Amino acid sequence: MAARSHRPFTAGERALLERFIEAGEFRDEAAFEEFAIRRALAQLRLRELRELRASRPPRRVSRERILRETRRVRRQMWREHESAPLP
Amino acid sequence: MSRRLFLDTTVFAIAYGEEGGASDLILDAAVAGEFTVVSSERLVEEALRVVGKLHGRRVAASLRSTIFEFPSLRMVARLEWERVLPLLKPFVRDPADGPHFAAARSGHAHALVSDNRRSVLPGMFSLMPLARPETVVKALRDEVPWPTPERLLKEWGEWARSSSRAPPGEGPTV
Repeated sequence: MAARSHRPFTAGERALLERFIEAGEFRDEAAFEEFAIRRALAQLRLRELRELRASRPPRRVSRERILRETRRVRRQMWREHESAPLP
Repeated sequence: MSRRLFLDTTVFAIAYGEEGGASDLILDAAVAGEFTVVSSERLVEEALRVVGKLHGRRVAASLRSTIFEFPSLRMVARLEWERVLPLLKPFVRDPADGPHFAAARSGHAHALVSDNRRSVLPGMFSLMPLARPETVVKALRDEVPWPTPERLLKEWGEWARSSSRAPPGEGPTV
């Protein structure tokens, strides 16, 4: 894939970004860029997950079954934890 | 983005099976970076085992990729959560629940979001409030003000009084 040149922020975009940074939402411009890239990747991953769901609709699993399975796995991991303390 | 939430395994497992439900919408908000997801390697491992068992390994692998790309993700290390575990132990019914509440507390989460209401005793709400996905979704959409720990305890207490599955003899007054 060909590299794409980075379009500089417009004055309006930069003013908005500076407001976010002042408000403490982002540490600096680099933190904002990292956030934006990760969000785009996360949205891509979630779309893949949803496509998987659409192509193979999940069988109906009751909430009670989910709670039971979570409890079973959690207790199993707790036993593993108890038998393997940190050095 | 300043809100911090610890998402329990039940949120991920229910989200996949209930399209458009509260847990599914929370996943949307996490991916959009609308709040910081506080988590731990332990929680992710547990969620993947459960989702893998219920929905298959491919789904679990896809979920794993999504979780690790959350734009605002704070992973709490075992050393961190183990330090606060003794503080929370008296307020969980099953010691196996302790690590998640401890990780949520260490990561300064505002609430642990779960469909499992049976796991805690009322004293937990002053250390780490438990919130249902439905409550969180409304707050994320600004339909209601963000619930205070007292409000979440009241909601839990109402459930506890009406449910035979609640911890015996417990209520919101403790």
